[in-house]
Amino acid sequence: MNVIIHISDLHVNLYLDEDEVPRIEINSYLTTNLSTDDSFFFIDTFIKKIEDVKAQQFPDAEFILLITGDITNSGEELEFKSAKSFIKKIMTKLNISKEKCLIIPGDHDVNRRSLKNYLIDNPDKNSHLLNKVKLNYFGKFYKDLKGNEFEFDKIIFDHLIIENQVVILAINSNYKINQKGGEGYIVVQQLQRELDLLKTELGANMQYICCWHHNLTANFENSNSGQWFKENRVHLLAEVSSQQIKLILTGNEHTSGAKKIKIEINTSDSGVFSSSNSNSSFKLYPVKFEESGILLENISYNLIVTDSNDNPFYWNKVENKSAEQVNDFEILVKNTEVILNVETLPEMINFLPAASLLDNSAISQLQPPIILTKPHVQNIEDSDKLYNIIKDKKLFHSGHFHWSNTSRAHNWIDISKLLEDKDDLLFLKNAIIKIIESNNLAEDCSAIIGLGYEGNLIASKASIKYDVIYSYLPYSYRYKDHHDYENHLNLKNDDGEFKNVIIITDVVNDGRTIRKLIGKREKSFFEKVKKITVISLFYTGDKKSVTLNILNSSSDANFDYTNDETVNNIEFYSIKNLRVEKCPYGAEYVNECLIYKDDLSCVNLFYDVKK
Amino acid sequence: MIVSLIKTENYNYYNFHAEQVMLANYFTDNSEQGIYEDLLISDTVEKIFLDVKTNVNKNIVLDFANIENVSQNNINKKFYELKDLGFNILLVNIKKNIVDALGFTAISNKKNEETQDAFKKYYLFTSNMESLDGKIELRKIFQAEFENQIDKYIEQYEKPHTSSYVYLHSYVDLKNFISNEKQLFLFSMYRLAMTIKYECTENLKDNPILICQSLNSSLIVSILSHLLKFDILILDKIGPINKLYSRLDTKIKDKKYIIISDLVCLGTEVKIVKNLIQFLGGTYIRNASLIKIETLNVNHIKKKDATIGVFSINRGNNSKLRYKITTNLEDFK
Repeated sequence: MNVIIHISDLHVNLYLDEDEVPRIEINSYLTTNLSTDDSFFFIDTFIKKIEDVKAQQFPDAEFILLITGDITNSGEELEFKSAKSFIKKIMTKLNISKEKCLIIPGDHDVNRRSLKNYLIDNPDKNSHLLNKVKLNYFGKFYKDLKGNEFEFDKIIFDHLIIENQVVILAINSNYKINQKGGEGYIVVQQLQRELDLLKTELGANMQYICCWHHNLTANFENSNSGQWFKENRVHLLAEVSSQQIKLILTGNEHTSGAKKIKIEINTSDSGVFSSSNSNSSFKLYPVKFEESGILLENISYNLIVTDSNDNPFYWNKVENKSAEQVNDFEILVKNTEVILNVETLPEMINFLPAASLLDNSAISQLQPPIILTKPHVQNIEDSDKLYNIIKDKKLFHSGHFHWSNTSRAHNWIDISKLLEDKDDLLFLKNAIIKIIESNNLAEDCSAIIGLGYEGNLIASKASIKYDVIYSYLPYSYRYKDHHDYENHLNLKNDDGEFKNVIIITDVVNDGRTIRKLIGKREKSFFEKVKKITVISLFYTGDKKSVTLNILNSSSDANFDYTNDETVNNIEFYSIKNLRVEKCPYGAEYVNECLIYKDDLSCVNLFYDVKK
Repeated sequence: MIVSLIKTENYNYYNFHAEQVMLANYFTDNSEQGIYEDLLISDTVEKIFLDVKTNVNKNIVLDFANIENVSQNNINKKFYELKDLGFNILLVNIKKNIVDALGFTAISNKKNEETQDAFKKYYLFTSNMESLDGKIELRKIFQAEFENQIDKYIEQYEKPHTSSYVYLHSYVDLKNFISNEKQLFLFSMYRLAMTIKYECTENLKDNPILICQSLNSSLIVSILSHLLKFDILILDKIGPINKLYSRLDTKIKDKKYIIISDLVCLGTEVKIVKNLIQFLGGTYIRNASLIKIETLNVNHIKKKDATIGVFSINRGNNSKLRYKITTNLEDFK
């Protein structure tokens, strides 16, 4: 049987200060003072406990060691050196190979001193991205223990497979940690990509468990979001849920606990392992494969401090009911009911999406789908104000409006007139900025692109405010009206320098124009862009639920893979949703629409039909 | 971002008003006064001086033009910090009340040049500033700087390109310039806004409307609208083509317009728009552009017909910039 030993927050402390005087406030049993037996006594007590538990309950147990961060107190080299000694002893005595060990960094494993020193000569406002600097000593420690290089820029940097059915993921949640500290944060799109690649590599039918340092919820603090960036937490949980991950193992809060987030996601915090001034704890999770599914039993142990001469402390099992923790975590629930009535299913329509024709190597090159099912929460005040301007100035028109053969509608919003008033124009520029600021979209942005005249007009303030390169393009149906230099993007992305791009435009309907821009017209630029954020004044499409991924091919069950471009890395925001009625006639509108055919009324053309 | 820094051979130049306008309206976003900001705040000074401290050239010219007041008197401490770091500082176009407010009155220099209520030049800490004798003209140093930068963005056509019944031999890639020379572009926008304000002073009270007619100029108009607090009009085939003129008819009459361009060469497009405005009952005030090509001697154009420009390609620099216009009346070379 596989049993996961979950410890966290060792906080191995420097014993001496800069003047080589023993520090007064050391809150960990584990220090860099190896000249006495104190630290190893603690470790030996722990090892003995595990051996006793194994002998009594799991005689055939094979242990997996999971350490969820804050291994050291300050990320100093000496602390890691001592930590290595302690962990190696645990591994040796409990017969845990380095392959059966997941070591995850916490924010205390970031060496803030090194980062501060580095920034003196190399100032950088994005110091949190200096992974190799901030986790330098952790990286060396990791290599010493695991024998592998620590992959600084990866989110899922290690994993472990149990019985070819369960995968435990070692995830780095220190993206935002800099010389001042910070909270947990994971770049969701990157996590999604790495997870999809891993799933492709490992095959279907695996169940995944996430392990990272920072707590997403709180057992001790009065905060629903624990020590996690609030907005990121929402997106992250949506992603975890969509990936059908049911368990997250963490540390950080120094309080052992187990909580449920959303309907099906459990979190388990092992608590602080070696604190000398609060309740130390660890957990064991025997992994059980049963007919009904897979589950991890939840067993907690607390350190009981007696202060007696002969036995200063010992480990004791916690009763889950009293501690208000569940007894086990369901990883997989199998459907054991027999299907008695089988209906004859209708014949499948021949449908060959472009992706199905690709082999595995091509699939791995595709942009993996972003499944951001959360709706974008619009700013009500801005949304209402924009709508009132449209109403007051009578800018919403009915009639027949054609932008091309395939782009036809029965409504039109006169955006150019909307933008003529300087105060309305400034309001809209500010509304765009608000979307960028409230969703932290500028943080990793490497370029902003204005689309069309209107995009250029409303994007000008963002183009100045944010220190990123700005460019602009005409709408595709206006290409013939512009010089060649204006029709093409003047940015090169051969080296993948532009990873995160914001496109600002006035109106998005079904997103076809945007996807065409990304997947066809400027494909050489966008194919190396990891994330495209589209911000629009209006969403005028017919979807009732406007989610962040609404422009992605994967979000539409009826996506036209033949005539449309497959794009799946767009995140969409708008100020106001205002539906525009599309022309109900198909390609034969020329003959079927009486108004067009017989010139019964004005058909407003935005293009020259002859051209 | 510092927008107004110009590095010359003898000194580095900064414009306090430009930085104050950009900081307040864009970077900290706590003001909507556009170019009508006239109060210098300590954040602006701090931002500029952080940049000054990175300079190798120790001669610094600080332009106070259009600054009417300073917000805190202890701004002067920041000047003394620079002095301690060995910088020589020359203040230009600084009002006397500001000199008093900053407590610099005690620092006198016989080289100071003053007018009734301001100093054209005020030598602050000047151990060695002979190189700063003579006029310090923003227009000239800006023109030189712009010329150096725009040179990179003038592309030669493989064969002459026809436009407005002449042959153009090169194309000024303003889109690339705007993307890659952000600092200079923003300073140009500031200068264009200030020039429009100066040249059209008597029309400002009528709230003229800025007209744009190209993708490049739409960006320029958007920025100018914020800086000058003017409304805009997009004059292009925006909207249904068959409704374009009927829409314009209802709004052009009795209003005043400034046509904004990115580059004016022969002015053909400007003339078309001007005629359209006048035909529909509006009043054409002026044309303003980021770049103008001086195809005529300035003495031969009436002022109101001359384009307000931030930078001009003229007889003096067109060879260097490889910008040429020819007709069929001469041989190609």
